[in-house]
Amino acid sequence: MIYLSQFLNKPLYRKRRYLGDVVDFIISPDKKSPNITKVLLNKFGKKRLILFNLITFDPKLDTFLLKSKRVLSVEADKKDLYLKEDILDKQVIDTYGKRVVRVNDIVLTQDYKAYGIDIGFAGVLRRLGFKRFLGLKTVILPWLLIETFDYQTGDLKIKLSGAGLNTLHAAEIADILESVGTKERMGVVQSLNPYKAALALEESDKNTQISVIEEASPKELREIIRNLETSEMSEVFYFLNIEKQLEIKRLLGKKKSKELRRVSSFSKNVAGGLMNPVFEQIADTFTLAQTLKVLTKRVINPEAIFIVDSKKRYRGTIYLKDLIHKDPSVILKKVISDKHHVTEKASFKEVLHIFSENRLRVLPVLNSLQRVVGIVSIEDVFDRLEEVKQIHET
Amino acid sequence: MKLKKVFQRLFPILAVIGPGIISGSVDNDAGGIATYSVAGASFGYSLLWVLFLTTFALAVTQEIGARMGLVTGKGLASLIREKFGVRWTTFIMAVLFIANIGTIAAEFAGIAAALEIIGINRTISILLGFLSVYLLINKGNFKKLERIFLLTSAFYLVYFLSALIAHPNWPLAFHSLITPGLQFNKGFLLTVIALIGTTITPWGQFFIQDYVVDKKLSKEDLKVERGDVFFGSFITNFISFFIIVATSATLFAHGIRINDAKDAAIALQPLAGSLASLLFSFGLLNASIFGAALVPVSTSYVISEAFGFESGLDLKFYEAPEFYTLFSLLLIVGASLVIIPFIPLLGILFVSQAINALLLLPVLIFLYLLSNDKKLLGNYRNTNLINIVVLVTFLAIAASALAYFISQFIG
Repeated sequence: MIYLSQFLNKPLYRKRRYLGDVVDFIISPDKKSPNITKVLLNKFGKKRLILFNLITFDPKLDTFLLKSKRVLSVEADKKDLYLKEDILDKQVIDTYGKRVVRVNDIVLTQDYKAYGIDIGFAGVLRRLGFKRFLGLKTVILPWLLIETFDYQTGDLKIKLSGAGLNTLHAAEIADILESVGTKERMGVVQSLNPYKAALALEESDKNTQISVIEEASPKELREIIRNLETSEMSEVFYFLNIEKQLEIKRLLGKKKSKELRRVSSFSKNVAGGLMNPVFEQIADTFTLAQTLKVLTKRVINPEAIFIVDSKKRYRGTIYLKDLIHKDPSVILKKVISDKHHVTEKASFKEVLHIFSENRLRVLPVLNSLQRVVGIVSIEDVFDRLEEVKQIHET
Repeated sequence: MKLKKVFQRLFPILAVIGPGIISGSVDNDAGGIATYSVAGASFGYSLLWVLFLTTFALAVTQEIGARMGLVTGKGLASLIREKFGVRWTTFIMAVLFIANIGTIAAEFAGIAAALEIIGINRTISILLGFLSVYLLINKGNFKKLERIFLLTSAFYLVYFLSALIAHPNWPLAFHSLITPGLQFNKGFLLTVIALIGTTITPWGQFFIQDYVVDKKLSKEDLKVERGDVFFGSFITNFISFFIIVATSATLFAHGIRINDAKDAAIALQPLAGSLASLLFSFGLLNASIFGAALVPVSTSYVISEAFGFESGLDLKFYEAPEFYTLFSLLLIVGASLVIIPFIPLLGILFVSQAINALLLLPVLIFLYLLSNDKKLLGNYRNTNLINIVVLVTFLAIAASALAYFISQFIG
């Protein structure tokens, strides 16, 4: 195994004539194990790219030697990844270990292909010139597993196999979002599908949520708002700068802005502040078959639906799992699973009591007209319990 | 409802402020109290101009750190590593480590000096201090303790009151604030260096940037955060001004030199009378314990960030061995330097600040280079004025150090 640090800043000669120092190595990242295609030569501040296959390394002289008669410069390509400039010493995401690590060295195969990155302290010691690393193990991440960042243009360069991030659990992505720099954070958000990005944002701490929302472009913000639960947005909305608040209200439209304002007007200690204003309600005269037809049009099926009468007053809750093996012609009001509900001003204690006594998974929140205005799920309850615990600890 | 709307409009501002004020408050630690007390007692008001100028330098350097943190979302150690590579990172981490050993030693010296006032032996006080700090870090809730520290920092107001009661020569004090005066003797030059070093510390530079990053503030928060760091810098030196004035009026005016903490406590006699020593002991102990907890932890975070070690007080030792080893080492070495009986506590408190100033020089170089990096900061790079302040600060420290070195031979 050979390491990038063994070759960095080594001089290039042609028949004893000094041509410059090799200060960087370039790969095209679109392969599983990309090989070095070019090198960046620096002679007294003047830099140029040359093809890697025109040079060879002499370990005895510890220098590079030019094989061709002349030094022929080549053009830079936007897709090129510079190993020293873009990767070495940078943070990368280890999607395998679900953590953010630092590149201490780059591991190459004998035929100069990128094999992986050294994230262990042995890599640091090697670069400092300590050949004996006090018995430290070299920790290598295969090239396949990492998501990389490009710093040259400020644009994100994610490998095409970057589906890696999207396979991680939202909580794992949240940990990553919390630990990387601003640019990288937005790069991660951009590389996720919008639904996953919203889930990851919901799992992140408040500061990360605010940071992402404030940095998001209008297009990104639109996607975030579309997928983020209103109750989550309400928690951070008033901590955003005024311009961003106005932008969000504009993107939400009148109805959703009203919902947001409504949810924000309640404290987290009451049902109104915990609830999600997005829920499914069906008329009590619908049959099961009609209901299933409506639900198949939804992107994400709810766990439960609320049954309402002709005046949209709450009549009961049906869990979809309870509809299995039921006669499709049965009318919904005859198969109601549960009738528990709370008002917007019900305390968290009361909500918790109802959930635990009745082993519920969802609880509708009603207004003074007995109409459903939101839904509190068991996950909302757990999240609030965790928040309360953290508040007590601080 | 109206009040709620007012609070809702204030939320974005309240969410941002804090790092500058906390960073500034921590500057008035044991080393700070000792240095300002010595400055006032030994030279009266004649060093107030240094304080005045360092206020600007502190505000500017802290603003740079906050700005870089806001724009990049990364700490200073991370930026140095990514821009300059592992060798320079190792160098600057070594500088930080050494500087902070000195700072931690100063905090333990502060603990020992504070408890010496009430008759507790140095060895016992260091051991007690070490155990308290270790428990504080491992078992305590840091955020809660940070708030307690900030509350108890209200102690510094006693210097403000004491200075008022002592009837200092206010015209002379304010005149000295804006009138530079140099004395070419070792004591004066060393005190100048120490004054700079206790105000603008290497670790403070890493701390402000990391704190801002931790809060995940963004570019939109820059204006508010600037206000926060400027206010924090002002408050720090506002307090320092009154420490110098109080010690000038009580000690310098009567030809009393500070040889130990008991002497420094005299500055509070106009306010507290016979309780001055106890009051001073409490304030010094508070500042020292918090400093002794904060500095090793923040140093360990910075070094871990630089080398990619796992870090976090919520992790177990086996999950973050390098992190825990680092802060244990910092605490042990820092405490050990002070436990030796014949080493003068005040000397450690004072000289460590001078060492801070000298070790600040390489940090300022990296700060200057990074904050002028177009690729890194784009339109958020330094203005010419900021660059001038940084360069002047650098030259002032370097010139003072050179003058001090020359004065060693001249005598």
